[in-house]
Amino acid sequence: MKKMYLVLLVSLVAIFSLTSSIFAAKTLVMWDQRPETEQIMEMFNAKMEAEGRDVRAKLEIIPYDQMVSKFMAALSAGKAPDLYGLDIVQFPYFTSIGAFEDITGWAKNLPFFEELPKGMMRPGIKDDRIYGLPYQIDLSVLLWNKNMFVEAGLDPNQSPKTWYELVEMGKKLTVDKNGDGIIDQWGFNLAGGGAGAYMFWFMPFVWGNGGNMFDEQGNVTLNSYETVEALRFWHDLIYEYKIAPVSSIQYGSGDRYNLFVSGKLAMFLGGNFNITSLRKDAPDIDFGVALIPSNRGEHATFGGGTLIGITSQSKSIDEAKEFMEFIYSDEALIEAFAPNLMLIPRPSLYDNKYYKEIPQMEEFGEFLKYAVTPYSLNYNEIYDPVLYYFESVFLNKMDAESAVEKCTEKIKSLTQK
Amino acid sequence: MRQRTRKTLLGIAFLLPVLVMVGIFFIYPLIMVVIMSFQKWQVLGGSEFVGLKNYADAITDNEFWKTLWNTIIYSAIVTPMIFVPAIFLAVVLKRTSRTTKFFRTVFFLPYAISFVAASYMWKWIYSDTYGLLNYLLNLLGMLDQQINWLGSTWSARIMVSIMVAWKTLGFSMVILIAGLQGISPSLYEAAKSDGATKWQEFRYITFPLLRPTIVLALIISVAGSFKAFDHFYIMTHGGPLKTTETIVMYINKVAFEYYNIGLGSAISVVFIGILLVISYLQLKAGGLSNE
Repeated sequence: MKKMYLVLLVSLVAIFSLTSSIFAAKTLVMWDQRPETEQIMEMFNAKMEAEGRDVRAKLEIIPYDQMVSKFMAALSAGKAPDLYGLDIVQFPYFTSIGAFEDITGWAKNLPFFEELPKGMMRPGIKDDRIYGLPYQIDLSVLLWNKNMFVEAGLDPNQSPKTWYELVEMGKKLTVDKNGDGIIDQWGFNLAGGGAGAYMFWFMPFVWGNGGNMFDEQGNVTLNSYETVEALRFWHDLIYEYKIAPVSSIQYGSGDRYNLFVSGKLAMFLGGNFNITSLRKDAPDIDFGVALIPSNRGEHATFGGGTLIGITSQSKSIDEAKEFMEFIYSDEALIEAFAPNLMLIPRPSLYDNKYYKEIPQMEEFGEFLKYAVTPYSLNYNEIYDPVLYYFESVFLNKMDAESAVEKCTEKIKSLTQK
Repeated sequence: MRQRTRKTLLGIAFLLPVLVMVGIFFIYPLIMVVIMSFQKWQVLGGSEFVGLKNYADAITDNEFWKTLWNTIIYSAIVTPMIFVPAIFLAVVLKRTSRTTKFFRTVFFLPYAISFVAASYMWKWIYSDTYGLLNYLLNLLGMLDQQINWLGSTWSARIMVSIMVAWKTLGFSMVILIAGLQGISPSLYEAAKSDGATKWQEFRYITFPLLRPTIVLALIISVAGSFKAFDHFYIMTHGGPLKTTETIVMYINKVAFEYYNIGLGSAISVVFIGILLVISYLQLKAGGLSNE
């Protein structure tokens, strides 16, 4: 009797493993931070099914604050996913340790390769080889409340283009409404609350003044008159022109957003990611989006978001490439990204039915051309000096010149280590 | 003899689930951290032993001492903020009645909230432009300009500590109440018949007999404040000028932002050592080292 059970059990196991190996699809695992990718997967899986192929894609959502630690753990255990949409600024380090597959030849032949935002390609390249392509995109921009512009006697369709205009408009928009000596409505806010915020929103001021943090080769070029001037300008927005509260140095993006929504802030530094929530939280506010004002240089916006790459531990590289190509297809990007108001990495697709209904979104196709992403293997380490020295200037504890000098020295010592 | 073996086996069987969990989630990681602290640890293999280099780097690292100092200052502020009101509340609420049950629940409730949620809530309360605190002070006419509570070093330390005290004193209170209820009422009766005042009762009966409980609650609380992470991460980001960056925030930064797992592990090991020493000193000060 016992023997019979055993035979039954063994044969059951055999049948199961056999059938599962016959029907088992090749499953591509992708890590990403955005749930919208799920929609793309469903479309891809439906397509595979229709074609009678046994390839399937599966999404695992990785929370933003765990994207590095989880990837490190997975890599060291040999269990990395096939594809990873990783934060663009973290990409260079992982490329340098060989975590991603070289996709140069394949990528260059993609029909849409040429239209991908140029300023965001660098972090995916090492020694002229390509390891990752821009996928989800976040750009830093200026948002302004048109209703408040009208109240202040300004043209609601003209946002400040230059630093000078920012100050002039900001003064008109900074108001003490009830005369109690406390400002009730601020014209502008600095973007503080961490080094990431300075990189995302302050660096466009440096670029817009002709300065830079690194040159093409990754050498530190922060120590310039252009940076000093930009730092001084932010400092003066608080102490000289008085159009931003000193506390905004500590504000996170959520604080600025809350102020804007509650009608206490006229212009704020935000991004495309504010549009969906603004339309929901403050349907009455008519707002515009524009490039961050510039001074002596070209307008610039920080190209944040993710690059997508195939990891070197993937065992299905051809299928992963196929899936990656599908991700960038007209169909996938327009039907999964556009309705959720996410920025599409291909400017030629901005003329779609979803963006048409939202004038702010259409603007971003143009903004993509101005996207810049700094490249450094030690990106996270430059956060500390950036935070410390920039904040010292904004808190009035150090003059801009010596702050820039010391900050540059510190970054140099970190990157040459 | 067989009876005894069976009993032992049964005991082990009951302990096993806990031992397995502790082993997997505490002992094993702890051993790994110690091993990694002697390595130049590489994500994709090829880690090599570097002896004491990581430890040398750790103790010569200014940031390490700075963040450790920040953490000590914070612990020194927050501990009395938790304990003075907790002891007071425990004494007031030690008798069980409908009213005390209600108030115990009220004071314990914040403990059930996660630190993350509480931090966001209080960050909003402290906001200078739309926060509740400034709004109330303004209503009372006590402000001539908005105060940025988290904007300067000491104010940030104190305001965050107030939040932590609000959130955790309920837990210390419950432990202390349990300790108080363990003190025999006959002692108080005897004291009363000897004509002792309320203060003398507290000083000579409550306090000495409560000491073991206080030491336990102190160790839990001090170790907790040394491990501070979420609330500073959310409420101040370590600012202004990194003066509220705690040691755990720094470990996280070194290991997972600078990718220097070896150094991060070494700092963690040093930090565990410091915590052990502090806990030992507390036990000793409480006269409990032999118990």
